[in-house]
Amino acid sequence: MSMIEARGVHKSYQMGSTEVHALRGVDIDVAEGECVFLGGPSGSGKSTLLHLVGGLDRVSAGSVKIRGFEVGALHGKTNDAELADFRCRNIGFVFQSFNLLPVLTVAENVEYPLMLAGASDKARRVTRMLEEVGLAELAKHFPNELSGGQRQRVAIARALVHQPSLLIADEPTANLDSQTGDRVIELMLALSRKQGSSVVICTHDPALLARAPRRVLLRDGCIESDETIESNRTIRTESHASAAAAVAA
Amino acid sequence: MFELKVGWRNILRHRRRSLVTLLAVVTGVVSIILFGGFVQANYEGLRESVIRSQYGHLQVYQEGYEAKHRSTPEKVRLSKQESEKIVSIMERDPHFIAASRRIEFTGLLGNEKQSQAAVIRAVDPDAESLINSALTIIDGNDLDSSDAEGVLLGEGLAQSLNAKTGDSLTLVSATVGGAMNAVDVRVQGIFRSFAKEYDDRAMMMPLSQAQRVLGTDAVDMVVLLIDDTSKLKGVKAALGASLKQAGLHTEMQTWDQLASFYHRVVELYDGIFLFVIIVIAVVVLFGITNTMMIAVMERTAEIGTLRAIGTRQTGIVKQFVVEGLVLAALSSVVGVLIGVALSRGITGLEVMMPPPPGSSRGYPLRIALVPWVWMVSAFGVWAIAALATLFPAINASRKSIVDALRHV
Repeated sequence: MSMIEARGVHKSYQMGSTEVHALRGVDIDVAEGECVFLGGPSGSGKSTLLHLVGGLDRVSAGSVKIRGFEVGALHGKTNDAELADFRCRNIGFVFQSFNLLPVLTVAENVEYPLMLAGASDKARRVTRMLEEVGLAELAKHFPNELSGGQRQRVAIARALVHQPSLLIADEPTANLDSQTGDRVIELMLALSRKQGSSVVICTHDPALLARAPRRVLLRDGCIESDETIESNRTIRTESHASAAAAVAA
Repeated sequence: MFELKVGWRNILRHRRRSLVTLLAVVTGVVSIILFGGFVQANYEGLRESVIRSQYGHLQVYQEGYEAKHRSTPEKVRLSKQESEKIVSIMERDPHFIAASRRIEFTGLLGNEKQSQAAVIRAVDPDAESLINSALTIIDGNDLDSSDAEGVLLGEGLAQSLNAKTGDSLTLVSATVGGAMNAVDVRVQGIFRSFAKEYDDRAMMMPLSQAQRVLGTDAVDMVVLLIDDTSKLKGVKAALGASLKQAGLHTEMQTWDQLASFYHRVVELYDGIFLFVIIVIAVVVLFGITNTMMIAVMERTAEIGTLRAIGTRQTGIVKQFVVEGLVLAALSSVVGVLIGVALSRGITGLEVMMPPPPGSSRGYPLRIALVPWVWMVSAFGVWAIAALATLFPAINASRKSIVDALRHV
């Protein structure tokens, strides 16, 4: 079974009196443990596809399934609480603006998904995760006391602490300088590989796309190209130790 | 617990806005406590004035008095032996302070120039000085049991007769046999009660002199004063049993059955108090709703994040409602503390208030400490906060996750 199975996905929005077709019949499969980079110009529909795959939005037509669970169904087919619980257990999110909760400390931000899932042994798992992203010593700090790179590492820790089967990242490096961005991507991919999570990253960054093991480019709501680049698969095989070392540097 | 922590930190995070809301709610709570305490103090003050200037706590009559005393008062009076027996039974009660026998009748009071109809209350002077402790003698002296001719005139009655202390007047009234009788009386003093209407018509005189005028040794009633108004119910029950056991056929009325003026004032104040509470509740409701709506707007992206991570809609509602309740609880506690402190402070200032409607004298401004008003204001605000937060919270939980995440 594919991790993600999207079939005939259409999504349209009403903007004033105009109906905007963001996606026009997209089909895509992502395998367990696979890493896919979504690219394309603004308005191509990559963020919309990412939201649908993450169960954050509903399709206008078609179907999006994660491990067979319908996450993109029209309103009513899957109720909101079910979908929220599914996201909580199976999906991790990393956002462009980090989106940490400002009133929670680093450790509390990372703990939040575990709390939602009712997980046991939260403190140990949070500590281990923070060690993995090299922020154990900042556990009691608040997000506004951290740099952009540190915040994104906290976001990665939060996204992966509950060991989701799918990691969704929306422009995760857009607010970071290129060096920090590279380190953050390496860390994210290394950790998700360690956990065996599939990854879907949406990015504008051509340098990042050039290194993608699988690159799906969208244009005008359709998939323009979908290529797997064997030579880039090394980006997934880089050791976690070296990634963590890179971050720490 | 988590929601409490997040709610508290969000309150601290937006200190200025939280402070403004807190002040609005505190003002509401303090207003309710002060006004409620003021109203309650007025009730208590008026109640004691009514008891200690007119009715006593309890009045005991011959059976059938209420139904017949207007038409045939002489047939429903207590004989001398009965009234003395009633007094002796009353004296056994541990809460007993005083008992006075009374006759109430009407007569014509006048001098050589003018005359006025008067409502006359004849009393045991010694006991009545205790029962009528709220009566103010504004000129002259109180009744004296050794001076049968000395009478007290109400302020308004004295003015209408142009009578002063020491003046002689003639009292004309009908005896129990129907004949007219007249006696000379001397103005011993002039009094002022809490009720101007009463003072315009009232005269008080010693019982012995009134009995001579009326040609009887019977009385209309025996009036009882006890040490604690809150004990009245028990005293009444015990007295009723004792009177029955003694073979006396009597009926009783308590002060609140007699004091229609008191009940009119209570109704008036209750209406005003309710109106004030409603106004304050609306202000608090809109204050908290406004704060929470701004909070929801400002935290739209946070709401999107929480929802994306897997927080249910009910979880979002819970977080905002808890935050509103924490703020309201804090405001309630601060409001009650300030309200109690102000109540004590204002009472301590001993400011005099103007006479209330229908009354002839002012009274000291007092704010009673009324725990049930504190509880009502605190928990009322709490309930309003829950209501006020619910709409913005539900609104927040229903936001589209994608739109919320895009919110800047």
